[in-house]
Amino acid sequence: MKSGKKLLLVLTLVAAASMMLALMSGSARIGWQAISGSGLDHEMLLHLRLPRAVNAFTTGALLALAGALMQVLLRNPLADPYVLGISGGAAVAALSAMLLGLASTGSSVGAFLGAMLSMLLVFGLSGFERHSRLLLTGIVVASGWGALITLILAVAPDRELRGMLFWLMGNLDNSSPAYPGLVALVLGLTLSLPLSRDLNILARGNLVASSLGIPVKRLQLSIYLICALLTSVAVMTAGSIGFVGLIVPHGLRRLGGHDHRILLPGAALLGGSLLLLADTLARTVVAPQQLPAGAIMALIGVPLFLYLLRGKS
Amino acid sequence: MIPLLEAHQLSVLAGEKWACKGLDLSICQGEVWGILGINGAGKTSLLHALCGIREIQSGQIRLKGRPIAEMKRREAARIAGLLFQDSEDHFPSTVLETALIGRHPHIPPWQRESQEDEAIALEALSAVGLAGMAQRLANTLSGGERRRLALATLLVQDPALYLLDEPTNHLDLRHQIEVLDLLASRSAEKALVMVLHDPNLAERYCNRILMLLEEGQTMQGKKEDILNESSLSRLYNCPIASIQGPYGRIFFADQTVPASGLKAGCL
Repeated sequence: MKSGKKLLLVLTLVAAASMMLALMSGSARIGWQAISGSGLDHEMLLHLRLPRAVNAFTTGALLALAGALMQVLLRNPLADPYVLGISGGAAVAALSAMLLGLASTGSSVGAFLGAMLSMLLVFGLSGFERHSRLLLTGIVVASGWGALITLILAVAPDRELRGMLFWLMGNLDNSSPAYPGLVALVLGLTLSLPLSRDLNILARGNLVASSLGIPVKRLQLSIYLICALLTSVAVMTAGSIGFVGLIVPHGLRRLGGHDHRILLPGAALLGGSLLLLADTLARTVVAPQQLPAGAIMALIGVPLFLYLLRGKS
Repeated sequence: MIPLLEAHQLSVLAGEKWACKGLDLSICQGEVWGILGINGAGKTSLLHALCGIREIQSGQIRLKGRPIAEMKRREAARIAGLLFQDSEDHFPSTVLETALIGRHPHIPPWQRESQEDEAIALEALSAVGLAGMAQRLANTLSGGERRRLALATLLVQDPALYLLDEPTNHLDLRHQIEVLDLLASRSAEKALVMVLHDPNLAERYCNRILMLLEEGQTMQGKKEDILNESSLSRLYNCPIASIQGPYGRIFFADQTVPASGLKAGCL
């Protein structure tokens, strides 16, 4: 078996194991038999833990997949799904919805719309002609959103503040439905996997790709739109969760996943597993109290990333 | 015989200067073209325009008789392939993976690289002296090894027309000659166009010359008619002399001659 397939097989096993761990751990002890049975345990497993676990997995998978795509688009191994200001746009819209007193559905929809708006704004201002310009525009727009977030937090009434801060930290505790994430993940993989051979070549530069027969502009626009969709749904589900989209593709490349046919599905599996494990920790470490999964993810992410950077030198 | 490449009244801007204005060019199988010009004359821009990856200001380019503007990029990539002046690698990949991307225009969109494609890539790697390095990471190679890897990728692409942007960049003397010998050995059934800075390599390997002069003017023809002391002195704005050597004339910048009739400034 080729090393790439082996890597995917291992990652699939890791994903399955982390899913089992997530379903089995929590403040109440629930055994496997509860899946088929009925009663409280069955309810808790199927209607509380499973949707949350699915949400954690799909959010991590969406972000890691979007990160891998964004890194090729910007040809920068340090790019992540948020680098073009997408989480900032989502946050401003979601916090505004909370400020206006809309229900949690309102802030989710707001987050999705804000993310899309930010992506369109950045693209409209810069285009793809030079990716350094795209990156800079994104970073500047992101800091604009950052200022707006600070202003909203400054004027928000105290009772809203806690919810807002939790949203910003990345949180899977808002019991949002699991299907948007699943649909976006399936759609994202279906759309991006056929592009992966082209992505291998785009990674070497626009001109090289063009000289080898790739319609570069069309490919860039496709990646950008797929990224926008994936990231918007992830932000809608869980707020802004950092590090998954940066570390996972980066780490997989170091494990030999150079080929996007391996890297893209691999990133989805590993990103999903990592966030699922982080969320499992977040809700069990000081149970029954819950910690924001984004913070746990960053706590895992920081040393991991520093380790990767050290390995590079 | 239909020329592999024809340019009709081609005008290409390189930044704010014209690389060429109203250039007519016809490149046929078996020809080896050398493009000469001073730094910033637009040699690279012209080469990119010829394979359709750079916008042209006016005129038309045909590959095997068909306008390049009407072709799919994949088709164009099977006829004309480009060796870039420098290669970027932002992400890690192995030497074999890098060489294999040359097969891209030959593999249908929904297929993977076959064993045969891999064999082609391995053969190209050994042709440029990189056999045994297939599994190394490309970013651990030296400048000269990377240059030969880029050339191997182009050999794997196997176009009818090789457009080579300073093919001897980063190469030591022995490898310069080995690489150009390798290309020349295949030139009978191909056509080569190379941007060169060394007129001696042009003298030794080319049979046609295109000079990019100031303000988009050009001069072209058979090597014997074009490549001489006076044309090179005009081109480089610097007195050039020559002596007879084993492979033809050997040209050099002649500092013993006062720059009479030429603008000083070459020293």
